[in-house]
Amino acid sequence: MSRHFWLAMHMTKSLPAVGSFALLNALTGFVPDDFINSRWPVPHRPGRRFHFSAAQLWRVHLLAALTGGQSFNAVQRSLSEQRPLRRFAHLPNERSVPDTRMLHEFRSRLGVSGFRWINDHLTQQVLMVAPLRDKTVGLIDATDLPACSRDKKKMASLGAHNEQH
Amino acid sequence: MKPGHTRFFVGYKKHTLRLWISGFEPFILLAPLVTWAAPASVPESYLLKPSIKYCQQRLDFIPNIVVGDMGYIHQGTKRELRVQWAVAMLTKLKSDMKAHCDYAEDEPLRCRQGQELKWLGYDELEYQHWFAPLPHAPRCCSCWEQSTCPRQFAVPADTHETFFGMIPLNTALAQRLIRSVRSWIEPSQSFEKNQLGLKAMFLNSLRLCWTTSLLADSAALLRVLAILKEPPAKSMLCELFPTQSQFPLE
Repeated sequence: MSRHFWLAMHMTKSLPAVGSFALLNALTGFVPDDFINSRWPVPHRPGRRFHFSAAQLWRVHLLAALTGGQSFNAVQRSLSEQRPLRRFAHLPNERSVPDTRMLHEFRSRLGVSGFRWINDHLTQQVLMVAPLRDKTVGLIDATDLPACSRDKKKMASLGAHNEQH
Repeated sequence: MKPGHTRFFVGYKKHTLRLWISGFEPFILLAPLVTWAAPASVPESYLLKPSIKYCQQRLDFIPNIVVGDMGYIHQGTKRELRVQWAVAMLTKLKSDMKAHCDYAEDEPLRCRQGQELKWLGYDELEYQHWFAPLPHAPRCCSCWEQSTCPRQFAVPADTHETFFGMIPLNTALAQRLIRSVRSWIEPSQSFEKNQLGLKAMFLNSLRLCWTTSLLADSAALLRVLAILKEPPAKSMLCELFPTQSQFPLE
């Protein structure tokens, strides 16, 4: 039996499966809410009020990965229907759910560097508790992510179709 | 070109440097350290040095050994990592390199009289490797150069950067890292693409690709934290499971 199979068996036993509500419960305590809220506090300025903290909005984004790769819009839609998702995102009820514009603005506000800061904070926490030997080993590799280019494909126009005949 | 791809592949690449948490024994655990999202046309080797630099600047931590595939074989970068950061970058030899290389991955180094030599280690000050014959080596006893033989041989690491580097490729350690440890990255990539759904996401811009890649890393890091802080309960059948392989890395 291959080592990877055993690895997969162990992984499933150690934590609930991705997409399950049990996994959200298991991970919710490790989200660095204080760090996120202190780095990106709710701005006090005239105009439209910010209803949600940065940690809440980051948790909503994280749900896209933890629920098995839903789009941000799909996560936003399911928030009002599924209580465990709202509980993970610290949203009090189905009426107070961020809309897609808020999510978009949050992504623009943080930028890639903001998401990286959060990951660096998590990585430092991992490095603090990880049992490492004298010589540490890193593995580097790249994986392909195909772009969605369906809307960019050339479609045969009606005129072109007629020209063939 | 990779199998299954055409010349007209449109998309991105997620370049990730992961750390093997070697002291965690129940199973193999990899934690993402640095991630870059780049257009698919960007070669892998371009992001090797920035990854190490990023680790040093932002995390104050650099892995001692980095194992990569042949995409990271750029000699100049490997030399820079070895000299500036004391990082051993291990990759396989390309097939066209093997034809022009005086050394082979499956052959031990030999002295000019043909005696097999054992690797003693890498001298970081002089940038050279030291090799010596095994104790009670059969050819040494009857060698006509025995009286003048230094019994230790130095080989500069830049004789062949890919073969020697900081860990020569013909050592058991390098072979285990390249053959066994290197393959562990594939399940973690598969986990991100299939379980965390990176493959299914609608990626129509590099910015979105980068954001989703970082969110997948966040999910992976949270899982690692949860596993490390609350290790899994010992299974009743654990005595029957294969154990985590031990690498003394000496």
